Amino acid sequence: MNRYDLIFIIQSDVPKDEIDVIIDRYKGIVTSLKGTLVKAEKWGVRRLAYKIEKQGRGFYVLLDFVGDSPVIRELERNLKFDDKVLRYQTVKRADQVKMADIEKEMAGLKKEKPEEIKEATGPRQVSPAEPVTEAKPAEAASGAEEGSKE
Amino acid sequence: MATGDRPRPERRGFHRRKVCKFCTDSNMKIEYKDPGTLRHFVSEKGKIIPRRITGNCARHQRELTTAIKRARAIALLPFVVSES
Repeated sequence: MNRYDLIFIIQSDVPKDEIDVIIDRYKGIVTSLKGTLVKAEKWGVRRLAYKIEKQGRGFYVLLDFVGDSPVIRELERNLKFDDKVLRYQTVKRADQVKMADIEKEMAGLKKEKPEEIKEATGPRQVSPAEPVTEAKPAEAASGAEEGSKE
Repeated sequence: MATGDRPRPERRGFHRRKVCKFCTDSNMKIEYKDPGTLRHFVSEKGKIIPRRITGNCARHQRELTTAIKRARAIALLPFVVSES
């Protein structure tokens, strides 16, 4: 059993209840093929960094689950034919995970669930150190150019 | 004579030692799902900033590039930012 992240983008003009139907369908695929869903996150409508199928916005959904390769095969086969899904990506996070660890994590997740959602949907917290880190690459860039001229 | 032609340009200012941000700050994680952090390591054009400039260590730069590429694939980061 491996652990996977599946992110897919649904067209933003799909009504809310239909989005839930779509998500539930993919959740169902995971569980029907002996996979375990760790968490499902709805990131909501986000601006896409570039246009996909002439659309500038999309509804992001993350499924975090444990399973074997047939699960992925079935999910991707379905996602490929789904017209409402603009893009999907599966990433293997861990190899051969132990179910005990996953159960422990799921128990922990349930407790702090409200926190989790806030973090996923809200904007990233800005730390005080951020302006410094942002300015540095540009500064360093000019320095490096000078260095190469030597 | 060989070395006397042109005086070596003196190093201006001071040399700032660059350190890997991910090594110094342990709660900074490389995560492809977090475009906010990745943005710092991408130029305005959307290109990955080289290690020589950001000062990242090899290991973290490697993780960073895969994270940026994953983020690009799902439209969290742009491949290119064209002038408009």
